[in-house]
Amino acid sequence: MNEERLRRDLAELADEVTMVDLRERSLRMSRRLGIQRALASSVAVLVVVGAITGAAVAVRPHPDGPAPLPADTPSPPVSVTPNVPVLSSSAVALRAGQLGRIVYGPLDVTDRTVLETDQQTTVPADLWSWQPGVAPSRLLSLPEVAAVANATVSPDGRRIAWVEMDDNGVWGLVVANADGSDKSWMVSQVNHLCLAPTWSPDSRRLLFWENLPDVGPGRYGVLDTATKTVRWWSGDRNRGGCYAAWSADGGTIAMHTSDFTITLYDVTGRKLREVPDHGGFGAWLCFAVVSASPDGSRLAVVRFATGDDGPGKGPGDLPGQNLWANALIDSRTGKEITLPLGGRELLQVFFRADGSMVVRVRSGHGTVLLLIDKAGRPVGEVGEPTELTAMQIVGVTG
Amino acid sequence: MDFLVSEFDSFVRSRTSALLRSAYLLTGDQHLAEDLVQSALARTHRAWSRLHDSGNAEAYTRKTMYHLQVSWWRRRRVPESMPGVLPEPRGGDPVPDHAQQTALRFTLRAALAKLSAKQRAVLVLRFFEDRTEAQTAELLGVTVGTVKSQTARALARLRTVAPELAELYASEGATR
Repeated sequence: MNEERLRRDLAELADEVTMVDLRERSLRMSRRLGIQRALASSVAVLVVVGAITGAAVAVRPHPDGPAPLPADTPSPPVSVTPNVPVLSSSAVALRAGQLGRIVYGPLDVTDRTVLETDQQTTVPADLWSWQPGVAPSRLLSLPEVAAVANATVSPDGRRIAWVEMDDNGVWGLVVANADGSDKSWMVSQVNHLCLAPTWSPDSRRLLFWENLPDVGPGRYGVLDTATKTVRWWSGDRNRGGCYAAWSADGGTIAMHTSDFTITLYDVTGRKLREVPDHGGFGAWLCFAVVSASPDGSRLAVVRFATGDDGPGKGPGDLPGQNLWANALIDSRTGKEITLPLGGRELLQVFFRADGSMVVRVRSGHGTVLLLIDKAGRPVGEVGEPTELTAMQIVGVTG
Repeated sequence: MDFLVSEFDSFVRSRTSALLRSAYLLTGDQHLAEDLVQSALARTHRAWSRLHDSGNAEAYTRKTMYHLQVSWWRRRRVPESMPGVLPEPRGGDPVPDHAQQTALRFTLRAALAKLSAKQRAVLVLRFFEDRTEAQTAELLGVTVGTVKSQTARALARLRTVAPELAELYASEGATR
């Protein structure tokens, strides 16, 4: 074959393309990619600081709590020098059962290009469960990308949902029991980086985003895991929504939507309202909705002041599921609600069905979990085991 | 304006045209090409703070673009987004007129659509971007041997799916 002629014809064929300005579109997509990376860097820094200080563990198990598991119980594979979580001097120590079970996943993938090129490797990663006074226990093993980027636990703690790639390169929504048994492939062509499967409060349904990259915006659907049937949301497909939270009363799904707004929907996808002052010309850019109060009136979010994003600014450059929160806001006014953190840095917030919150803060060289009641008053706190400080909390159950 | 932002803007303005041309050959579709370049640029933007000093931004963007294309192609399962029907070859006139040239482009586009994403990527890198086999291998994350075999398979496939194209190229080659 005449290669010169092939070269010339390829060049002529390439001339058919119409030039367009992709700057704005690229920046918008970059911001969305940044969503799952925001704030994760703060925990990475925590690990480094802990490693430098080389201090001892200070988890404060309650004397009435259950006995630790046998010594041969495997531990999370995070190897860092122990940190010291500093508890508030007036804090009441939390007992097993008060916080429910906390489920942890890894913070980062082994090879970042896997995320950047929408791939999946054979590297496995584990999810872990912990409650105060009890040693962490392994739940199940997932493909690493799923464990880092999209695994979620049902509110009753019994099941895990995630998105993984099959042998044909198709991403699909998978559900299994929390110990990995009864694994079932539910739906194909599901987004795996933007919208993690979001559980309904009854632990039966899952909001997900169908992802067909070459046919325009995909659909949002609510899957009934018992019947494997999907009710598709109607209306505007181009919500650009990522990172949703489903309120415990079942009536509100709060979602970060395009242009950094926060939109509240009902379970059918009907728009209820937007949170003021976020996105567009507002003062704040929302990058993710992490958790919603039982009635949807309060939202844990990650947000940045308008203009505070772009290369080297705003969200960090580490992956993770972006379950990190830096503000609790009123969904009607958009104003921040102050939490009693004792001057410590907020890392994660998870609402429980009774309106109380499990709040993770950075404290000293470790991390501490606070229980705050629905009126906003502190109930107690407990330091996290050292091996969990470098992981992300992916859910709070029970 | 922030220096890094300005630098990234400059990169986008200067390189989008070249990236789109390659993306168009990879996808055969204007909108898919835009999506591909946009996705690659977005990832470049995320990594800009570590890329701008190294001067490897374009290599990173292209590498991302080629990997994404292969990944998307696998996911779609239906590889042909381009028209798959080959036009009848025009005979006679040895000097291609405008209509003939248009038909030829259509034939080539349809023939490219018959290749796998990796074969198409190899052809674009080797014969459009004029990359060496080693450069192509590095960009695609495969061995030089794979590049050689994929190139051979891609050219053979072109000959099979568009014999009139092969005939034309062969006859032109013979006259030179």
